Amino acid sequence: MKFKTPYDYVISSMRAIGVPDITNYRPLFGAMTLMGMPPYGHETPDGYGNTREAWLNPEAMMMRLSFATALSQGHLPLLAPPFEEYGSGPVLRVKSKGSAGGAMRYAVGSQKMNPSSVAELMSAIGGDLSPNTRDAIEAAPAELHSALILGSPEFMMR
Amino acid sequence: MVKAVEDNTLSAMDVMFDRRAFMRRAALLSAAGVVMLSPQAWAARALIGDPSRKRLVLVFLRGAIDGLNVVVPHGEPNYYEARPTLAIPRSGGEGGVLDLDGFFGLHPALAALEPQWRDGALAFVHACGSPDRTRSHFDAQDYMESGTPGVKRTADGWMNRVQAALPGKRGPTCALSFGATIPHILSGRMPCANIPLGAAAVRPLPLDRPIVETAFDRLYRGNDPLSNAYQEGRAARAKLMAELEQDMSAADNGAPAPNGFPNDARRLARLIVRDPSIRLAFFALGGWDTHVNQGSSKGQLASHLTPLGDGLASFAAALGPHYQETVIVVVSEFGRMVRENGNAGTDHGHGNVMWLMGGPVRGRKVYGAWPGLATKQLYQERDLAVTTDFREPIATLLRVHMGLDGTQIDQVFPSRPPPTGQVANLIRT
Repeated sequence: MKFKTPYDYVISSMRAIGVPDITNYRPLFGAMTLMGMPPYGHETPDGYGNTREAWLNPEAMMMRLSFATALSQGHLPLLAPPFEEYGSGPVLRVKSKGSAGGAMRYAVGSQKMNPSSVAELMSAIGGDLSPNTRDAIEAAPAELHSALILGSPEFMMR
Repeated sequence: MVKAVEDNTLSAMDVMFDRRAFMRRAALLSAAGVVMLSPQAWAARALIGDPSRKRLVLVFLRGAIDGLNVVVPHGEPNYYEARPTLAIPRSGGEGGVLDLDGFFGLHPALAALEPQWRDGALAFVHACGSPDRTRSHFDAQDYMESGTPGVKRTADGWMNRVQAALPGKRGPTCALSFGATIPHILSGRMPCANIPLGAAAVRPLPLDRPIVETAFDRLYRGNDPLSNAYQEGRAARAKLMAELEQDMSAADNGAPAPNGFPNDARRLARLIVRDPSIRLAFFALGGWDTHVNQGSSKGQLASHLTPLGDGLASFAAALGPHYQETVIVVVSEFGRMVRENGNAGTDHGHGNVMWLMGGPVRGRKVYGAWPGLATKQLYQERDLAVTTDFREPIATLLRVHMGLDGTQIDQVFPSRPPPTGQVANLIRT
């Protein structure tokens, strides 16, 4: 078992959640950048590493779980027109309550999970969830179940 | 007073010890007529001299600032010959340099830093830079961040290696980076917290919602590597968000930052005042790649220097007594050509000037061997030569100020050239 690189993590999350053809890849590029792996952004010729040491750190962990939550709750504008401007802030940050149109903009292309697809998601990741993960999912409200699966230690490994 | 004692990076013994030292110091100070103004000042003063409070703030000017127009060699006729339209006039006249030592002068847009120079808290190392010959911004920045010029395969940054070597206890907010993502210089095995610039700093992540946080807290309650990373990330974030929110409501009245660096720098100062366990901080500022219409005393470069100088001055003021434990270093990946180009600008060069500011800096001096600006004295007959490797002043700082030993400094900057001795006295002991 290996700790997924940010690329692996983002792509496998997209596959697991079954988002249809996306028109706007920028939230995914932004998420990989925030996790420390900007696509085509490595400065040196040896490319990105693939070890846990290279990718597991506290800040990156916050970004992975925020991505898992935003994706599973349909808050990433993946079906928005390409190249639409979302402001200069990193895409994982939600707009403050007061900002006009913020929520509506993020609802574009919503692919909110329903509880029945949680079972599909669990089968998509394959293998068994640990007692701790199952316990955490059971204790959480249903709207967070898919976020917890995508954010689980099991889903972080490949 | 309460804050210092509650801070979990301080043991009761540290506080007791400092309290005794403080009483002695207070006796001296009151004899000198100095009055303690507030409990905060008490807490801060009691901690001065604690090695686990020494800190380094690095400001990286991305794009290669024109150091010859920042610390101007106004005593060098070749300078005025090479720059008929861009040179900063000699001191005294309209838009003239602010004379420093009779030979060098400061760009007039940096007037806010003149008091620092007079107080002996500001120094420069001229003709300083990287020995690598590249004129590519990306390669040169990467080398200056990895600390290994010419070596492409260094995965981590030198400030991350400094963090690993720091003596004393390390809190969750030991290293901070201001910007969209964590830069190479702070990447590596040691954790670093990230603060977006301006108003985005307090914009919440999805994970910050209490209901989401509670769910993930349960998922990552163990003692495995992932849980440890999660718990450390939450601790840093909780601490920073609480301080930033308090900061926004108290100091800025909730308004977004209008003018960039000065506001972000003051924010960092207030974070340090509340949480002196911040040891390393990093800012990157752009807008220095002045190929076209660089300007002279006024213009493009001047309009970028003004907020930088104002920001550094207000950072120093806002730090209060913590300034005595803080050194700010300003670097850029390389300098610019001595001769101005045909577009009223300057092209990529080699040597530059490094700035060092803070209580521990032995300032009011321009350090480094000045190579001269006659054609035969220039690097490749076109650029200011590098006579001091950028790692040498930083190594001095790491040894004298941050308390690293020789072996640790060799790990931070492996296979660097032998010291010239020019900057041995840069930092007060």
